[in-house]
Formats: sequence, C-alpha cells, structure tokens
Amino acid sequence: MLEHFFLPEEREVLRTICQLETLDCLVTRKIEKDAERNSAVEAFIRAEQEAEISFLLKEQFMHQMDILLSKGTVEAWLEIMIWYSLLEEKKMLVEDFWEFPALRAVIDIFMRELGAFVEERVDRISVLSLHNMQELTDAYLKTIFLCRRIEYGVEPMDEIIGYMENKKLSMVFIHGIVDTAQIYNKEKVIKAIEEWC
Amino acid sequence: MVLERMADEKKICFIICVNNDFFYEECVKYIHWLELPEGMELEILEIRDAKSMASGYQRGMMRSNAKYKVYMHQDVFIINRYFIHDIIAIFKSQEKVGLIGLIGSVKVPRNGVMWSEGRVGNWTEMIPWEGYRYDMEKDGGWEVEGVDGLLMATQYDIPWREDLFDGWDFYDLAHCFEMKRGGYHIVVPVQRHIWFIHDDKAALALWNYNKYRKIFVEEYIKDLDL
Repeated sequence: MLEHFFLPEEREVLRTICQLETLDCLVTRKIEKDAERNSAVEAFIRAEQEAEISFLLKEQFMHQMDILLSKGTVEAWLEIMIWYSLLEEKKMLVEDFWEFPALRAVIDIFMRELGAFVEERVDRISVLSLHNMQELTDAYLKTIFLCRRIEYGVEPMDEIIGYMENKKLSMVFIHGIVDTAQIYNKEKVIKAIEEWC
Repeated sequence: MVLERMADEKKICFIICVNNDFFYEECVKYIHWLELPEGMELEILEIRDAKSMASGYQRGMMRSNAKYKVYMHQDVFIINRYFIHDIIAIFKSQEKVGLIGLIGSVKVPRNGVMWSEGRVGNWTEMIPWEGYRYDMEKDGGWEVEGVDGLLMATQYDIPWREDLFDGWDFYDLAHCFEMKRGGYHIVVPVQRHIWFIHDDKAALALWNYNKYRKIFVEEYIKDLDL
C-alpha cells in the first residue's frame, strides 16, 4: 500500500519510524519488568537502547528534508511541516538532536512569512532561499549569534546587516529567531537592527 | 592527588575541546570580551581530536602552567563580563575551593543522575547585564557535590579520569569527586544575573549516559557514605 502513496525515501523514513516505535514498546516493557525501576534513569536506558535506530532515522529524515528544501517552494515547506509534525506527535528525535529545534523555529518563521505574503502582499518568503538543512541550521545559529552580539556589545555588532542582505533574510526572520533564542533583551536587539536597516 | 607544578598565578587558561569551529569562534569572542584583571595573562587552548572530554582536558591541563584554568564547552558563551575577576576573587578568598561551576547539585543522588533531585545556579533576577556585578560577600555561593561540565574553573591541577571516562559523559562529576578526594570544596556562585548562555537545546547527546553512569556509581558512590 505504501508503494502507491510514497516515494522510496519517504517509505524508508516511515519504515524506520515504525521500527523505532516497535523497539520503544519493547524497551518500555523491559523497563516496567525491572524490579529496580527508577524513573530518573529510565530516559537514559531508553536512549542507550534506541541510539542506533535513532541515528538512522535522523539521517533518513535529514535527507528527506534536504530533498524538500532544495525545491524552495511553499508546497515543499507545507510537506516539511507535515513531516516535522509526525516526529513531534510521536515524540521522536525532536528533543534529541539540535537540528530539530532549528527546524521548528524556521517552520514558525515560514508560517509568519507566509501570512505576511498572503495578507500584506510582502514580496517574498525568505526561508525559501534555504536549500538544505545545513543552510537552514547555519542561518539559524548565525542569526542568533549576531543578534546576541548586539545584546552584549560584542564586536562587530552591525555585521548582521550585511548578513541579512547577503542571505536575503527578512525582518520577520530576525523577529522569529529573537523570539526563540536565549536573548534576554529582545527589544534592544530589534531596535538596533531596525535603526540600522 | 594534586599535581605539584610551578603554576603561574598571573595567568588564566581557557581549555576547550573543539569539533565545531562555528561555535568555537563565537565562544572565543566572548572570552576576549571579558574584562581581564590588570597584570593577568589570558591563554586559550583549543583541543582538537580529543578521544574523550577527560583526555582532552587532561591534555590541556598538562600544556598550560596557568594557576587558574577554565574547562568549558565550545557552545557556552560567558556573559558575566567580570567573570575572571569574580572567580579569581573566590579562589583567592577561599584556598580550599578547588573548583567553581555555574550549575550544580548540592547533593548528588545515589543513582548518579545529578538533576534528578534539583540543582542550583539558575539566575534569580531579570536585571540588565550592564548594571550587574557579582558581590562575593552579599551574593555568596552554594557548596555543592557536583557541577555540570558546561564550565568548570579550577585553581589546582587534579588529573582527569580519562582511564574510566573515555566518552563525553560523567567526566565532570568524576572530576568533582576527585577534587573532593583531594580535600577541596566545590562552589557555584549565586548568579543574580545569569553568567553564561549554553546553546545546547536538544543537544544533550545522552546516548551513552547510562553506560558512564554505571561506571560513576561503581567508582564514586561509596564516597557519599564517608
């Protein structure tokens, strides 16, 4: 049945999700049987047992994201959202690898940019220019670092303007990152960037 | 066992295991941003291709003659501009303090999972960093049994247990217990404004945590009964 609806790469991801679910059930049963059950340690036992398949799923999922991101279309981003929701709903990977919070943040930015594109007739959606997970995570982290430098006065502070121009990132993108990142004086950062723009 | 070496009291060395230049370069920017006490020399050692955190830190420790050493993760950014002043003040005022951390556990639980019974070190007030200065007398600190390896500052060289901890977990707690075996105390300063940012969202990489937890419990939990 899967063959009719999904591409080979997509089927691989789905199969691995099923395998991880099955393994997770087995690990749960094993933990429940353990007489010395200790809730503080359970998560680590689970991580130990599921490490190999989790890394495989991560690799397959990242590949699938690369395929979709390379398309640079709104439709592909809607698919990315569906794939991410699947992992989030099943509580898989999203809290285990740092790439996923980055993806989550950029999905939220996409939603904001899409809203502005439709309702306010903004001319473009800047996240469509991120063509793979490497570019996405680089843009996410670099923007956090540059915004944070503004907060603490770490030189060079205005490097963010050149970076935004170079990567064609919108103010919506910057707002989205500032809202998500560990930046405490968000107002100071946004005000400085808006003054420079 | 403290390594008896000629230590330069006018020198502080930051020792960082590096596998990501993106993070490391940003981390170093914040180290250079810190106020350096007059007459003090700053050294930064980047440790590449470490087999484990403990072995990387051991290599760094042996390479530097600085009395004060700060072992920290590449994804930690120190945002207390007077960090160097503050830790040196603590060390100088209390010779028996061997190690300072930024987050710690007053009592390490017998299962070895530091966070399962609460932790100390989280900041208490939302005040602008520009107006913040740590006051050792007024703010003080907590005496703890263990600290998180995100940042560990020392004033004595105690060997890292690279023989037991050949991965990326529990090297920190093991080092704390080695410090205690050496007769030193461990403190976490009270941070009214947070001293650091740790960009570790979902990057805890705890896949081998249970393996090293068992090794830790086997080696050190008996110390809790002393």
